[in-house]
Amino acid sequence: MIRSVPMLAALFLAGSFSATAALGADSDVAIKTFQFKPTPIEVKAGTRVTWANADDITHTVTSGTPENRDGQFNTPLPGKGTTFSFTFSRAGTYTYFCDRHQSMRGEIRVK
Amino acid sequence: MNKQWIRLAGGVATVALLAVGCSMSPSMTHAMPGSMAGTATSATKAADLRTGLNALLGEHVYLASAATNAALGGRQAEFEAAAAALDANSVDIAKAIGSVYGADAEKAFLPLWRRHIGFFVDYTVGVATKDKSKQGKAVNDLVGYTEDFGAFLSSANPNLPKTVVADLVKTHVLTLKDVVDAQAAGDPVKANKALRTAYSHMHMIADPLAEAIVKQFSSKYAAQ
Repeated sequence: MIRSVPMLAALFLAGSFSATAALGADSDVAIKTFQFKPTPIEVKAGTRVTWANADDITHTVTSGTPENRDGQFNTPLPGKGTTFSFTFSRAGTYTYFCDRHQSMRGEIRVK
Repeated sequence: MNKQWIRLAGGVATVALLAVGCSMSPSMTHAMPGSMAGTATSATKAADLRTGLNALLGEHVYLASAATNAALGGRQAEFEAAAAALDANSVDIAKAIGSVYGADAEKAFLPLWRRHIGFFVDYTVGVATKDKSKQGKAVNDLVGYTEDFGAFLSSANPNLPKTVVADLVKTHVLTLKDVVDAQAAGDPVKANKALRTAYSHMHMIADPLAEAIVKQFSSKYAAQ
């Protein structure tokens, strides 16, 4: 499930995750010029959201906020072309951020 | 944070602040935001961009120097004024980025830019308190930051290779560090010499940045 992503430290409580070194087809959230785009997004429960790093630097996709990490996922994307996917199985509002650049924030609204 | 800055030694902040005034280009671009906006007298938008970026980045160095010198000299009011001006300059630099790459890029850029100023605060506090460990960490953070900054600009503009930008910013960090070290040593001659070097180096960042932007948006910056 996990390929070519060193230091993966993901935990998953509300769903499942996968990370790959290649850009996948379901790049729902782009990480570009130190921004998550689009954000916020609304998805149905059971949707797999994929983040794709287009920056030539390591970003992370870390659940919660820097002030209140919820421990659901915390995955480094070490450079351009790396991706991370997470399936949101339950309704709710999920915030996330980049742990290396904590002004980068995003939100997933699961209906 | 500000209180941490205020410690020890003396120096040349007043001179540095005066120098800021002298460094302001009379031909600032109308495309430049905030206080940098003015009557454009240069011939082309590309020239406006280049002179505007040069002025903003040069101002950054002088204001940073004024802030560190006041902090090291324990002059609270002077430090606060310089720090406020430095942050206003940061906002203007972000607006300049936003004028090219949009509001979202501006919003992303500002905290990234402020981050290296925070690391310089850490370094200055380390120098003021003679805390070698804090100094070392701040230098490491600054060097790491250069990679982030290079990645940001490279992502925004493919004409700006990440490693090239990172190396240029690394030199900025090191030249400004020389200023702080000389200020802390109470050597105004060395401090001002280092300040001139740090200021001059900003052209090495502003010029290729402007050139890369013009290349990326050639129709927008076509000669008038």
